[in-house]
Amino acid sequence: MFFGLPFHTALIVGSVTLVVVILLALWGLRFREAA
Amino acid sequence: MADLLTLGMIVLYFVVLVLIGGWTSRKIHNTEDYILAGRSLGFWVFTLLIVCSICSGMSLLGVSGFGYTSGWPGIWEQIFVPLAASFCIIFFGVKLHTIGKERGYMTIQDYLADRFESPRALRGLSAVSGIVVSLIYLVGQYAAISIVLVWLFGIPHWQALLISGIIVTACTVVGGLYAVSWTGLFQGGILILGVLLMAPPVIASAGGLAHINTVLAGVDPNFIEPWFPSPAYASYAYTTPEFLVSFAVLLMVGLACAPHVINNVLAAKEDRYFKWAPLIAFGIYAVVMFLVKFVGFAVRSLVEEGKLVLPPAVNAQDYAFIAGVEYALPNVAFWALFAVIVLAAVMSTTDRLMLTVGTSFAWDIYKNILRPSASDKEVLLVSKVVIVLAAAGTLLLAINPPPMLAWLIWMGIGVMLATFAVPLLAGLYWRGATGEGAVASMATGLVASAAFGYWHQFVAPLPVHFSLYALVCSLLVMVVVSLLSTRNSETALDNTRTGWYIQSPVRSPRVESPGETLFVEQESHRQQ
Repeated sequence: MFFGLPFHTALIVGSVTLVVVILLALWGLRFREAA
Repeated sequence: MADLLTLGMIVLYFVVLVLIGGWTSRKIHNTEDYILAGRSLGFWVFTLLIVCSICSGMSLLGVSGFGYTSGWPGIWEQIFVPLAASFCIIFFGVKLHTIGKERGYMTIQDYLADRFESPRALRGLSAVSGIVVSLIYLVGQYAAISIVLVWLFGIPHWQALLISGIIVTACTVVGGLYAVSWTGLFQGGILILGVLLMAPPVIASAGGLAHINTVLAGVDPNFIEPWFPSPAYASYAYTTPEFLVSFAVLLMVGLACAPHVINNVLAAKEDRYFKWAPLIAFGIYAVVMFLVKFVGFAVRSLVEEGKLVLPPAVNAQDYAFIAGVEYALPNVAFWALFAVIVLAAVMSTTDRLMLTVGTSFAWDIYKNILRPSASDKEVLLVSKVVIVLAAAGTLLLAINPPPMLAWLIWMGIGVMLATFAVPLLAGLYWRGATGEGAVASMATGLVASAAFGYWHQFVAPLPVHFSLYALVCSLLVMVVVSLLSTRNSETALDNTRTGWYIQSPVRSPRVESPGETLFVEQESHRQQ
């Protein structure tokens, strides 16, 4: 249990959020600014 | 709860809006200043403008209401809706901003007309669709404003509408996008700080998240699952895995291509804002919306434990946030701040919608179709007149809201998705997409979303959101008609940087190796 949630719910919601944040951070890191 | 402090806060809030309107009106010298704030929006103003355009009062009250009725299976809304801001900036914004600056686009319809070489048919169809969808949305926004003001002051519904309508219309008419974006910065700040300040005490008053989840599980064990089992076994249990797929597409893509959201990308000052704006917009919006959702959970827990009773209204769940704040923060100062937060959320979308209606008509229909010889001054005047007329018309509708208001608003988002997503994405990324394909796809999306929406509401419920069927129809029509019709000229495709990439690999000298950029298709469209 995680804050009263089943482990799988916390894992699924938490990891999807994390993946989204990582992808958006990667986008920012690899973005090519105009010269 | 119409005490002096609340009244003072609301008056102060409205005074700040009017002052911003007056200050920004001095910056308006031509149509570009009015429609696009002179393409001069800085990073934070631009990022918060995108967030505020998506985050409406309906979403603030509705998010907690949805949390109240459906528990954790509805939590995906808190990821999909903030992702709409990121999707809009990445998949539409980067390209459209660059092309828009080069080609002088004022609205998204300028892009569609240019890319598909369809200066009248596609421009007209997309402008009319955008105006209709924005008007439907506006009625919903005014209805939300009046809920808040009636609750605060106990004044008649029509008076509440009139006060808010006049102020927000005046601000938008005099200041254009400058006013909308700067008031957005002010209102976004209030919204973020207010939710960060108020949600934790409400959650704590219900015993903390762990206790809330335990109570939710007692109501329905599926309330703490990531989704409801399929098929839906109750009216609140519709977020099944298959529905969530359509929900993701609807919210992430549908909101991203809504005219009042996507047009903002043309107004950013510099390309480099697109680097971190997707992450920051998502981060800010997601934190705020997760907290609002948790308030919905907390209020459900309080109600189940008999500590709180919601008003006996049909849409009682929409009062969850209001009731939670009243329960947890019995201090009038917090109520006053809360009132301003909800108003800020509603107003920030309302003004953007009104500006979208005004500029779509004045620029796309009046200037580009009906009267090409119209002067800048004339276009500005038409835009302002249309904003006033749109405000008056939607206020009248909101006084006597249509009985199917909620259905109409869902229809609105569905229509946005089915109408705009395919022509925009195909236009930006597929060189084979043709003008005939775009017109047919847009018309099909419009008709199909109305048909499937009607079917779902009045004939038989569909397993996924109706807009997904309409989107598939629109996509199929785009592909088939495009393959059967003549391609657009290479010049038009090159000018609009059409191709399977987000950042053009050709025009920037800083790209040195094929692996240097993410999402960049290395094959130049010029080599095709």
